[in-house]
Amino acid sequence: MMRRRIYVAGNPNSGKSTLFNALSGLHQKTANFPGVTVESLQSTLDLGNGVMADLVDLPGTYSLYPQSEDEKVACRELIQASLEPQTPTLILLVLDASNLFRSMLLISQIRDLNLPMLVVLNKADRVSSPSLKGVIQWFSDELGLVAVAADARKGRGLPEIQRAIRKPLEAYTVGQRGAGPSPADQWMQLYDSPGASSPPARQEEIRRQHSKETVERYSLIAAQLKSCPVHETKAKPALPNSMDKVLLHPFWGYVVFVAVMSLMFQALFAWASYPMDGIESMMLWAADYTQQALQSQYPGWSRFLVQGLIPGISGVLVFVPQIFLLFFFLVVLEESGYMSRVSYLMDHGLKSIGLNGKSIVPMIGGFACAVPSITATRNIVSWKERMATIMVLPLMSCSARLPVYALLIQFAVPGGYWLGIFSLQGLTMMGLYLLGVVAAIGSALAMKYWIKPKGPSYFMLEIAPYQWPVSRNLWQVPVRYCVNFVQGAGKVIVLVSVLLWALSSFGPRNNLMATLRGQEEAPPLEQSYAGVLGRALEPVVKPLGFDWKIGIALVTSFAAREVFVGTMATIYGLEGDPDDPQTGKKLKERMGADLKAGTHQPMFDSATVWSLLIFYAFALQCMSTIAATRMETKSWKWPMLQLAYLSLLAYAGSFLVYRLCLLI
Amino acid sequence: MGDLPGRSNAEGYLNTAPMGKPLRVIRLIEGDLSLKLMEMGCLPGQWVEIVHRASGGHALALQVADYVLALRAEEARAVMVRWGESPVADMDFFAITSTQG
Repeated sequence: MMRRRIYVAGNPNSGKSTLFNALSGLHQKTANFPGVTVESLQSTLDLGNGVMADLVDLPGTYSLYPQSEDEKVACRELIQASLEPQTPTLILLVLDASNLFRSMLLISQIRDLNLPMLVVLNKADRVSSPSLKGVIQWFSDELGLVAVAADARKGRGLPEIQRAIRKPLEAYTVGQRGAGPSPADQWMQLYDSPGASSPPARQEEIRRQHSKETVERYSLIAAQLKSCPVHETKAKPALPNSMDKVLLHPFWGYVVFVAVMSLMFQALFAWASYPMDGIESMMLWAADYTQQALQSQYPGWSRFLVQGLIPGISGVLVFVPQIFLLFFFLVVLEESGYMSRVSYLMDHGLKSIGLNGKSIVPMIGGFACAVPSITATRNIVSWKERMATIMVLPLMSCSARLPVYALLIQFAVPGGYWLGIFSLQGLTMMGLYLLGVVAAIGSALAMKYWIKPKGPSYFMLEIAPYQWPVSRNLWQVPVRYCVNFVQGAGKVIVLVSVLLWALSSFGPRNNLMATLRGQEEAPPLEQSYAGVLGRALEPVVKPLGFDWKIGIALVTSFAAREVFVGTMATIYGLEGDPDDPQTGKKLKERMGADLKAGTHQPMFDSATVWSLLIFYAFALQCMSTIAATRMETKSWKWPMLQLAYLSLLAYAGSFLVYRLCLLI
Repeated sequence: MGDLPGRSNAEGYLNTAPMGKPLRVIRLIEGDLSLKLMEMGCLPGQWVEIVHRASGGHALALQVADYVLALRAEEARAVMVRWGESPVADMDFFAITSTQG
């Protein structure tokens, strides 16, 4: 069987990924490039006649002079392809037909690599059709390149592209070389000499060379374009636009932004709760069914499935609606052109605390869940600003903290009202959210001086004209992220839940096999491994006003923060659903009646509760976040640093608050 | 030549240039950013126009060829421009008059 590669290359914003999605459908997987942190997608196409093709969506780039990580990937792959003639490669060069001039630099460079190239004049709807025909002719006459007109958003030109990529590659081979001075192997040498570690003088030399080459190439392009039929662009100018008078207004711009974010919040909290409830009750039903089917014959298996594995899977799937909605909103914001305007509006404020204009949407998403938001930092070019954003994201109070706050606040704050309308408990809740934001700003400021910059750092962002999002991308992109999440972070969550179940179901004093076979009862929590762990932890958490029971809850909370409530329910000997209001009330009564060991003081007095609230506001008690940070940074260094500094912050904060409360 | 107020024909850094007027790029201050700007078609000899200024002047939106580019004010300091001339017909937007220092 013959195999070939098709690389989809082009400028950012050329509609490259939309074309890739249209050509590949849902059968996509992550393309792995060795040693880089950039993700790009690939898909396999059957071209007929026994020819299979790997269609790869290369990251967008303006030239073969890479600066950011993703540009490096695109450049290396393209140059490598020209050096390996044994794997035939076709370049599908996608360009924005209304931005011809800017696209020509990349075309001229790839032409010099002598790779077969098919040019796709995308966004053809923005150019009047007589001049489009002239442009296609011009590509053939002047450059010897085959060009196809397309509008990937509406699927126009797709059949032509599909026909064209089935032709033998000889049809696209560029005969004569362009005037460029740099052969591929020379470029390869430049990029493979580790850029960051090469002496500044050498970097300076490379940059000078690239600048000179850019000017030379553009001079040539300008001369060539003289004979290109001047195409009439129908595109409206991106700016100034009547909508921008409001959206970029120094006051109204922020008002609109707050309104849009509130809508997103509403969706993530309220709308997502219906499918989330549905998933939870479905999993409860599955657990019930399993228990009935297996309990009598295989009690050990039944317990493992019902208490360990099924809740673990449920804990993964329950995130899926929020992830879907978050990415749905991100696609709408990104594709409509609004995101680039918000980033432009917010960049100055965020930059002063070491973040980037593009950090704003992930930060807001962090109120729902840090896990998808960490993935959403990918469009931040500056490595330093992206790392800082990921590091402070878990401080935004996520939705998993909500049930913990709700349970604990009752012990610390009376139920009254302030000024007759504001519930004191509600205000406390808001205060905890604000505390998270303030801590995030503080930590970002600290990171600003601590993280060393790597690679160039600039904002520079193309502001695209407003447009309607492509309907296919509205579901295809969120679905892909959901699948990614379930396969990536999901595995870790299931594993940890099973581990925690095992720790709390078995103890050092009972026989593991006997318990599994059901010949022996599971030990009470206190005597389980988790209980032993909690006891061992007690000296560490005692200065914060916590006892061994809270210690266990802190351990189990690592699966997910809201597990705190369930653990408390188990420890205080309650059966049934901890979310049930009746059980919740009972839980509060039992927790309220508990006394500190050897005293007549209630266990959950205000000092301990405040200390615990502060701990939950700051601590990174979330395996999924750690897994997501690991996935995005491709190293253990960052998630471990994140865990360390947030634990320190939580411990120090709790300690101070506890001591202060005791003084008062 | 500095940015002299009252002069119809003046040069200066892009961040000090007037909004809504044709500006001609004279040269770019060397660095990673200037290379990126050139790749994106913002070359010496090109005509550009500031189409929006963010409040406080911290950022600006620049029309380059057929698209709009947002830049931080300090990034705009990498671009030296001249204003006050009107774009001449034969100096169309592909013309490149000078190379970078």
